[in-house]
Amino acid sequence: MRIRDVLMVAGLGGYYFDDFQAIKRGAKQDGFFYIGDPITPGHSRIRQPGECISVMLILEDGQVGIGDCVGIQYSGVVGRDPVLIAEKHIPPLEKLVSTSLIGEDIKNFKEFSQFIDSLKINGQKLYSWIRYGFSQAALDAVAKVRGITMAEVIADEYGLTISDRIIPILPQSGDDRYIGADKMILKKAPVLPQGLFNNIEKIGQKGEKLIAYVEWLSERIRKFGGSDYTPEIHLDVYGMIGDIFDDDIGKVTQYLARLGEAAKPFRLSVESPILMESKEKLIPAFSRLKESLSGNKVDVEIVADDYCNTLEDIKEFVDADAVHMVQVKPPDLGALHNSVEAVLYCRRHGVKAFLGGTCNSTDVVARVSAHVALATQADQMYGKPGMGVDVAMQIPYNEMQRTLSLIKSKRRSQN
Amino acid sequence: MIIKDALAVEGYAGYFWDDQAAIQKGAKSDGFAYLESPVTPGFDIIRQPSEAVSIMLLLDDARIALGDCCSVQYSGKSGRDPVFRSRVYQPFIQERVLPLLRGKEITRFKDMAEEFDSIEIEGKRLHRSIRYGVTQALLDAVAQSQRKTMAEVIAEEYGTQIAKKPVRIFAQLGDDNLYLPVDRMILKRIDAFPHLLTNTLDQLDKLADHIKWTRERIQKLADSEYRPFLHYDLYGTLGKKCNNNIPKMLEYLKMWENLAKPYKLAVECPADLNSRDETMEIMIRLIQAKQAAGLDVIIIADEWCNTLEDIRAFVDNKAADMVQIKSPDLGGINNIIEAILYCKKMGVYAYQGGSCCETDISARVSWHIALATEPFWALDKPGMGVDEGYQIGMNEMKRTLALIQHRKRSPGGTTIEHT
Repeated sequence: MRIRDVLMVAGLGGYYFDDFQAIKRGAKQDGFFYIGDPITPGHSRIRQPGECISVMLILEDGQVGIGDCVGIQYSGVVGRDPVLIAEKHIPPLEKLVSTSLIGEDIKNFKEFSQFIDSLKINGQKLYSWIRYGFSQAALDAVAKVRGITMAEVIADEYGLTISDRIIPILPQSGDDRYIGADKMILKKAPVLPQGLFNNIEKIGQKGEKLIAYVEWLSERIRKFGGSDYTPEIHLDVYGMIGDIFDDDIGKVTQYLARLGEAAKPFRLSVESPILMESKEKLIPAFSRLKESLSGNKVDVEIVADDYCNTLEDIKEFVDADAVHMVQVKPPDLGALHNSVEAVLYCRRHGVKAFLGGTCNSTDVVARVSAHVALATQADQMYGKPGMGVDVAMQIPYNEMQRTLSLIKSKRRSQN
Repeated sequence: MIIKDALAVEGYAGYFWDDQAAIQKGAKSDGFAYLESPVTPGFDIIRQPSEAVSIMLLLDDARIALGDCCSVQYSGKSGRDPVFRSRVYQPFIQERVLPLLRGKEITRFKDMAEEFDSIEIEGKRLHRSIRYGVTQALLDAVAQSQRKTMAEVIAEEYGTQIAKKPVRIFAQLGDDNLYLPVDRMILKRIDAFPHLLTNTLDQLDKLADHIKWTRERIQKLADSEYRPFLHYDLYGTLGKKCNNNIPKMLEYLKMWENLAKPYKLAVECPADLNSRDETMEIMIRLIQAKQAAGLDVIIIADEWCNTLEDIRAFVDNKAADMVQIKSPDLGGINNIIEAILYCKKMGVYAYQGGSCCETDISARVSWHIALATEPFWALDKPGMGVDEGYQIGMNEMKRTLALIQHRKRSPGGTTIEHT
């Protein structure tokens, strides 16, 4: 089916863009605002509404494939793509769209996604979030043309078996880590709460505040969750544990052991327990930590996030056996087939795959992610959009429920 | 086009159902939860995750039309349908409702929706949530079979003009934080907010401070072009506080209106008496008195204004400046369309409401209704997180307007455009 036209609409993301550099330099918070001037180009304020470019591929038969280009919360920092400002970034795409997309025949998701990845403007590859959004629209278009779900398209093209159960959703509490956790417990989230422990203040000089939080959380789950509810605890600590112990692997191991005890009887995963100034330093440090944890029989899993931004990066972490789980971040990986392949690579090599993403995602992205998670059988996925917990759980959960039921009904009618 | 098959699955909805009877009896919260036992049938716990049943209509060309059956936060309250537990209603829908849909031909939305909305099983009409969800799916099916947006289908069948730009969005805050969400609403330049549920006299006493704080916050953090409406839901507490004495109530309205200036004030349900007639009567007197006093505040009807018939009564009697049209409570979405159009015809502002306990699917349908009928404002939903519901609404409206514009300009052509 040929693409008859392409529309791009300036829309909103599900959260905010924060100027990481300005915050790092100590910008003061006033309520939910940050006061002071932004530093990073593209920011008109330190905290500004997240944006998106919603892409609609209009097919010859009038059907429309939809995908959303979304930016991450801390974008525009060195080495990353610029802050997504829809009004600014749509016009340069128009020519590309008319010369390279309109009239194209769209049959196969993987091929079209690779094609989008290869497009260039003035010799430069497109920003990763642009490739991400256009390739979602391509997946949706192929699914609509073929009259099957997006999960079935991926499974068919990659020869996969679609999961027969809902992929566990990890909602993000952000800084709302007490009320947010309560909501997750009431809703029986299978993994919780992320927690956003990104500075010393939040974890304590010796990590004592983080331990107290995990003790509180574990007790809270037992108090309100009911005996049949055994979620996994997943914390994102942004390298802070390494920070307080000068990246001493032995001390970090001991601390993670204490944290694991505090989490009991629930299992614990810690994302970015340590952080180094480069990928080359981080991978061996992670490997040593992983070995040290198993050597000391510490039943805590570690998760890679930083420096794990491309399919190639992810392969390096996996090949080095550096972590138990890798967060695959679709907006950073460019066209969507890269995320599919990253999840598959992790799983094939015995590393758990966490289909992540950003709170700035949209409802459209959340629905696409649900299909990717089902088709690739990711071990867990982020809830999205936003940080409000409820909607981020509702959208992907319901999309997975619908998809599983459609597939089942199809099987029934075939038999 | 024929409905080849129909499916129904259980899912989450966007927030929590609260057992209001238990909370009013004084149940104590512990964090976000409540430990005491619920009172209202259908609740396992006082604050119960809200649930939905998603309807899928499989059309004979392999397209799938969606609609979500969902309900309001204070479910099971007197006069309302029972709590919409998916484990109870999903099997019911599967056994009793889906067979009515299979094999049906897709014709006009209005006819199909009205027919479904009035179906009776064992002498009883269906739960409003079921009527709400299935009629959404019918609209989607008609739109897909005609290769049009849902907004266009409504506009054509009801003879309306589609809005030229996104409809005003109204956002509400939950009760766990009364300040940070207001900041978010200001940051995103939301048109009307914060709802601020004021259901005790103690909260009513604090309202003036919150209005003042909000006004100062907007002035401090936004540019002067930004002029949101400030909206508060009083739950009848003003009448209670003043023994329903109109001059006394007027004094409060005047004080709040002045505190809100330069932003325009709207108050929902200032008085709630024992019946619809008594409530309408005091609302009529209050509106006459505020007009005579030269006050600008918008008075909104909510309690006793639940069905299309109630809404007509309030509108006909001029018992409100604005009427809240509460989506899931009205059953079929055809009733919502009619209610909005009736308000507008009679010169009363229509507020397309709904619930935090809805879903992305019902929200998207609601934004198509909003574009086709242009209420004065429409609720940011689902959830209480502000950002998610606002994103869904704004993007759905912008996409729809772009598609409609595109079709008008190039019915078959190949132009590129952006909005």
